[in-house]
Amino acid sequence: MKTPLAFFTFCFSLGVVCAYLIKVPFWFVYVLGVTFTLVSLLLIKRELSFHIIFFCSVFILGILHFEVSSFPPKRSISRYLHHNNDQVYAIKGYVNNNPAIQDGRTVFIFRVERLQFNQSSYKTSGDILVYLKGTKALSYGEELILLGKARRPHRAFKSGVAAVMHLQNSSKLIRLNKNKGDIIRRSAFYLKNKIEGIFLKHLSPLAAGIVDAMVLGEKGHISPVIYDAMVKSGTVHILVVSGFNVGIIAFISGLFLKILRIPRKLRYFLVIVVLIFYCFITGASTPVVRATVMGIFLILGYILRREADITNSFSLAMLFILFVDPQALFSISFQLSYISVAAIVYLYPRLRSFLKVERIKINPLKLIVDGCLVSFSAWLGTMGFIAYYFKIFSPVTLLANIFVVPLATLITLSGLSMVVVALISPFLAGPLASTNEILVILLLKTNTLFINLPFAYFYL
Amino acid sequence: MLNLTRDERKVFIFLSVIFLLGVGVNFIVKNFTPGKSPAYFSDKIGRINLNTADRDLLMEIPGIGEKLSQRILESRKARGNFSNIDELKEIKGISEAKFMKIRDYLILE
Repeated sequence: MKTPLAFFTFCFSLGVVCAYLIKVPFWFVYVLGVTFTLVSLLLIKRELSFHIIFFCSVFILGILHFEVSSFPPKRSISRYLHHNNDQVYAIKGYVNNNPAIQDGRTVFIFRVERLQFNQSSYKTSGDILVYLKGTKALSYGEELILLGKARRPHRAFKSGVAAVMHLQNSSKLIRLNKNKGDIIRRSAFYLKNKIEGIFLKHLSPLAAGIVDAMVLGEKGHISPVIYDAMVKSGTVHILVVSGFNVGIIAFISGLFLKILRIPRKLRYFLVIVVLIFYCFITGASTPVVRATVMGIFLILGYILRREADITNSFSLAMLFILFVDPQALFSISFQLSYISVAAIVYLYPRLRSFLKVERIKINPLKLIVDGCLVSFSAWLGTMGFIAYYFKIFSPVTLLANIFVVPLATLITLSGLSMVVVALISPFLAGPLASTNEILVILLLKTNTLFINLPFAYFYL
Repeated sequence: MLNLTRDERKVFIFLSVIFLLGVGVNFIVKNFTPGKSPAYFSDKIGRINLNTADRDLLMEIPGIGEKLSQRILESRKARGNFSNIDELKEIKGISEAKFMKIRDYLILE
């Protein structure tokens, strides 16, 4: 067996699911975990009994980790919030993400450090979601004082934010003219805003929204009509930054560093740095973190001149996300991202060998068949989840993806080229912008064509 | 079963022990650190220091616009620093009503 990490991940995830479904006393499970670990140490020379006991202890670690992460710390702001909605709080902290403009409001996550109400001040922690009426140029790390009412969200701790605050005008927000953010995220967000600026300057709002989503994973500028059409055709995944984008970034940066004649090992390390930076730029969503960890694992394999096993790197990426946030296991994004990759890893080689694709002599045909099989594998894997969560079944998905995915690839490549060219010389970005416009129109027309076919999709 | 060598098994057990310890410590920290401990009451929080605030910061205060913030800065420059918030009433454009409105947003340090 070459994939021990897959087993660990499976047992750990099973523990997380168990803790999600059943409430178990922490100390009882903790003692059980210590006992299993000690017994596995005693049985270290045995084969089967060691593995059984050790996997039990990993299962218990999953339970314990979920238990600990599922309740807020004593100093969490959620513990201080009154049920009385008229209470006005003064909250000091800093902006903890890249603020977005949505429906005429400035929306951002605020990291709370101090809270004041009823003539008392408390040291607190946690993130709150802030809606500020109007548009205000705020940036990541900016230290502020917010004055207003706060309430707990419906699914308080599960959503990652402890409270929601609505500010009616910018006088309820006081800038302290200090920056508390870390330099990596600050520069990542700076670059993101710069790139978004390039898209908005050179492209029409429609094309800019789509290219922005494909390159930076920012879906805020896409019209709901287009998004809905993509859901119907089962091609909405192209609007999410995923392993595909991470692969392109790794390839382009690797190629660029090779042209600069950077030594091999240093080049690989620099590619890892670029991938981590790109992960921050795109907001470190689950598919990007998964793809980044997998990418790093594969590159480390190259550095160490070892063949990296795809299942092991896939499991490591999953374990990494679950360590950081075990609640992620229950998010749609996590489930779809992992099930699609798992389906491609497991089903695609089997389908390929079953249909004897290797025997096809004509290369372009082989490429098309391969593309169809990858798409089919992902579709088979995600079909049940999509039907359950989105109440839609789209037989047209398979066909639509064959045409839409190559177009999306071209748009991503063309969008990235435009960014690079515009950063060097804005005058040269014009022709590339026109190419992007044409590709986006072609993509939307193709998508519309497929969803208008008979029996293209059914609502369940 | 997984063909793990003895050293690999030791590593995995070591990692489990570390993880168990971490989870235990995390649980204790989350549950047994003193809860609602008042840090201190500070009437500074949410207020702007009149003697150091720049034009943009002053304009964050409701009722103070571009012109008034400019006059406040000029007055501060002329007199050195403000020694009392009431001195604001001497500035053109700050009536008693306006002063009462902006007073709570300001502090002197």
